Amino acid sequence: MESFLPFGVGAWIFISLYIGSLLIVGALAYKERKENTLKDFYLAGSGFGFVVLVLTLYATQYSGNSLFGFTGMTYRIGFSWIMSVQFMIAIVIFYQLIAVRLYRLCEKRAYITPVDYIQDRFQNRMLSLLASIVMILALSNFLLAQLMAMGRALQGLAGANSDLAYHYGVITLALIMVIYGTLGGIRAVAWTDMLQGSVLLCGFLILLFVLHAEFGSLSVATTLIADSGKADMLSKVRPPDAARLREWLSYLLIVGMGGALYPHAIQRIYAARSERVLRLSLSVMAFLPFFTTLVAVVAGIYALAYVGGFEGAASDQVLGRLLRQVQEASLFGYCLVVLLFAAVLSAIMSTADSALLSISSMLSKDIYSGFINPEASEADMTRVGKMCSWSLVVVLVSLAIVLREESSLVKLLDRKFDVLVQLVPAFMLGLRWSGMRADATLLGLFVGLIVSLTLAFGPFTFIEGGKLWGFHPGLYGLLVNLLIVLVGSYLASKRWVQNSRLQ
Amino acid sequence: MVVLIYLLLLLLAVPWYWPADDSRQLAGFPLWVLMTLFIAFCASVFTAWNLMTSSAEEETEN
Repeated sequence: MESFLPFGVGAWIFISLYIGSLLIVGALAYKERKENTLKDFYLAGSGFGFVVLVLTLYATQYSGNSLFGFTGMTYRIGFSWIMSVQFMIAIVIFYQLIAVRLYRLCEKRAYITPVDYIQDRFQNRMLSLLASIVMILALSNFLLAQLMAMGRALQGLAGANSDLAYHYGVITLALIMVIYGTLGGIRAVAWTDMLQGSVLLCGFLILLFVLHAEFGSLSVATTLIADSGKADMLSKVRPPDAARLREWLSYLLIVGMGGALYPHAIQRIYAARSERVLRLSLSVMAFLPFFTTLVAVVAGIYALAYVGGFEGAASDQVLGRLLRQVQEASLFGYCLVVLLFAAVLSAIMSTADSALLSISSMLSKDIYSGFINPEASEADMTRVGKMCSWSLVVVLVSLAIVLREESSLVKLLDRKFDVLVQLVPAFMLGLRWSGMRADATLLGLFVGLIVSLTLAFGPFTFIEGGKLWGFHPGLYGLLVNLLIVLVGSYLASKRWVQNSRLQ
Repeated sequence: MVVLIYLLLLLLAVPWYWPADDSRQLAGFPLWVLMTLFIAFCASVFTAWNLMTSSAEEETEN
């Protein structure tokens, strides 16, 4: 993004109208609300039909990272990042383990947050608290990445005033997002997601068209890379080596399982109008990586062929550099880049608003009502949730400004999943195995978190690129976590049988 | 059966079996990439089919 040419007045009017329309949608959603209840604010009352659900799931799953991070990652490692298409499909595959069962339970037990299921299933307040903390921290990390991406998006257009533009970008877009989010709740977020999802999908298709028109066919780009005569470039079109293959498998597992446990996506499962709508939406989601992540990989290959000089985290900027060339070439190219910029903002804002709303629901329902004020009414919880949204935005916007030069988007993505996958036993096993015990699940979650975070952040020389032997630390944590759950639950059930015989 | 099919797809999705020095291309994609995309597409089709046919219970319409 940092390489775009500054936009003209017309482009800014277009972008402002687009952003203004999000506020109008928020106001319409506010008018549409039926009652001042948690279900209406966080799950849209009677729920979403097919079109809204599929577009809100799509806009939520595909973030600013899908465009910039994935293009940058392809630039760094080449065609091997085609694994991103597979791991986005893996998320839908793992959804099959939880989605329908959670939806049916939600229908019977009126869940609002993902932790409502954990409390209902395990009846253990410590486990619920730890699960809430895990989800809130993982999502806050994700939200911070989106806020930073908002700043970078505007920074690239500002020329000499790029520092100021970063600050204005973060503050203005976060403000707009929190206004429509607190006005209309999930209804506003899902309706804006519909708009943003459509713009995003069109944006990816436009990107493909723009790249082909400006640089020629992909064959030429791939041949340029293969014939460059440099060993590191050649390795980017050749099949991956053993280390990369292990990393590939690791990404399939960690993103597949972790992505299926996004709290904001679980709340969309709750918000489906019917089981059939849910199944149909997930079926469509299984094909969307071919129109989204695959395009980002193709863009990365074009960048590799035609844009040189980026290394490490800086390579997340290659898409911006590529588009600058398109922008300079013609008026038509310029207009297309303006449309693409709207798609970029859509990707970032739609993910950020969903994460923000989900965090606010967990803070108000799971923490405030669960531990601070159990007598709170639904109206109180909704009000506290809105206050949490505003407070969180203030804190994260400040962090986004302070940490603006920090690590690449994919690094943030990796750590979030390391933490989230520790909830796999509670959800994926807990929904199917009635013998699973709460204390074993709590101990497994705790130890799994310690193992993965120690491996991820400890000063170990055997950790290369944040991974141990090519696998994410979270998977080692999950392995220990699962062992504790299985052995602990087995021993507890054996003890229970012995005790009942004695009695 | 469903689990076995997914394990088979996982086995084929990661291209460990492809010759390391292969440089053949089709439409700008290396052949090994097209193979992984084909497996990914099979996984999508199977997942969609499984989602739409696996419900034994009555669906809950609101």
